[in-house]
Amino acid sequence: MTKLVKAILICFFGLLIFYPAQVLGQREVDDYLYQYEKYRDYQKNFEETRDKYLTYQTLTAKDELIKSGKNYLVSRALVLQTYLEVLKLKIKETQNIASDTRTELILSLDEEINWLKDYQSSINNLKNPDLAELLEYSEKLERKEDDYRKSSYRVLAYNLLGQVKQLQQESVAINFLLKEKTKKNQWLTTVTEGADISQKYIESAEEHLDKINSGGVNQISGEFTNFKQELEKARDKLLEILPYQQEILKEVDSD
Amino acid sequence: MTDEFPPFGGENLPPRELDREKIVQNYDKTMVKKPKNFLIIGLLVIVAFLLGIITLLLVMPKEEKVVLVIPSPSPQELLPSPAATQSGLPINISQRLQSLQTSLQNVDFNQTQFLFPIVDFEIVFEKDN
Repeated sequence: MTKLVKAILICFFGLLIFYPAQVLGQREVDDYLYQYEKYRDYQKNFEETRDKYLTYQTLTAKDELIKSGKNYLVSRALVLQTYLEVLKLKIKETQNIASDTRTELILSLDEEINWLKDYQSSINNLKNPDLAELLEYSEKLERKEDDYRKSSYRVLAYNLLGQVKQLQQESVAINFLLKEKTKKNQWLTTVTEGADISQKYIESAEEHLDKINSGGVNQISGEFTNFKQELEKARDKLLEILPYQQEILKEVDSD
Repeated sequence: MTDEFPPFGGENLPPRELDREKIVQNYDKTMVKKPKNFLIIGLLVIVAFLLGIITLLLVMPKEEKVVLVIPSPSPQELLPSPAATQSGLPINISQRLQSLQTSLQNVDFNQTQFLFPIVDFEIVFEKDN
């Protein structure tokens, strides 16, 4: 009986380790979207209490503003925290990324996530703060804005790049298989050259990614747009050669 | 004069009275193994977890699945198939091309869901007059 129970426990924990990550990932995204919705409610409430305080200047109005202000600051931090957790998930899923880059991004995100958690605790533990104190806390997070935006661009860029690179590699692998069997040299040249052009666009996108990694936040937005454009061209080129690959396959199968 | 032999093997020693309570206690300890509590707790955790998974699966919205209709194989196809087609290409190459096309079309360059949230970093508590 005891051996059976032990065996069940071992199987259970084994399954737990290999549980589909997709279910957990979707939960993190849902959590972020939910917190984002709640943030909007807190924002609205804060603005209403602020307007009321500015109009009437009563102590009661001020107390309400402080209370709504606290909730608003905490909610803002929680949205950012859950967003960074989603980014962390995305970078973990990203293919074709150097392991040291992946590690660096994850560590950086973890650091900021922990900072945001501590930040929320600090605000929640405030006893009778005044508006000046709340403003001070707000400015602490305000100073982090550039870092968070940069992290977001970097993670999304690496994720996109990883996807397109993987698809380009798959296209090249298929070309390699078809090359040995087909007699349609014209089509083969088309698909081979197409894959090479796609690779050039990917390399161009990587140059923009280097600028995203090293640039200031004002520069990053423009570089990210250019980066996406190059990747889109790479993807479009692969789609362009696909019908040729399909025709080559038909021709090979019919021989 | 009585013959008195020195103690040997305990024959002339008074019999030792055995403590009956200790016998019973020792018997319980050595002969019966009680199931450990943590194993029972472990089983309860497993049951709770499985119930949670079943509830989650019932509550989660079901995604539409693409149903692949595979026609019945012909007699030739029922023969053990090699890893390659007659032309020597891998048997799954057609599926790979199809999958590649779908994946290329599905690359989401907008990533709307993952864009940076629109939050106020600069919060005004008291407006200047």
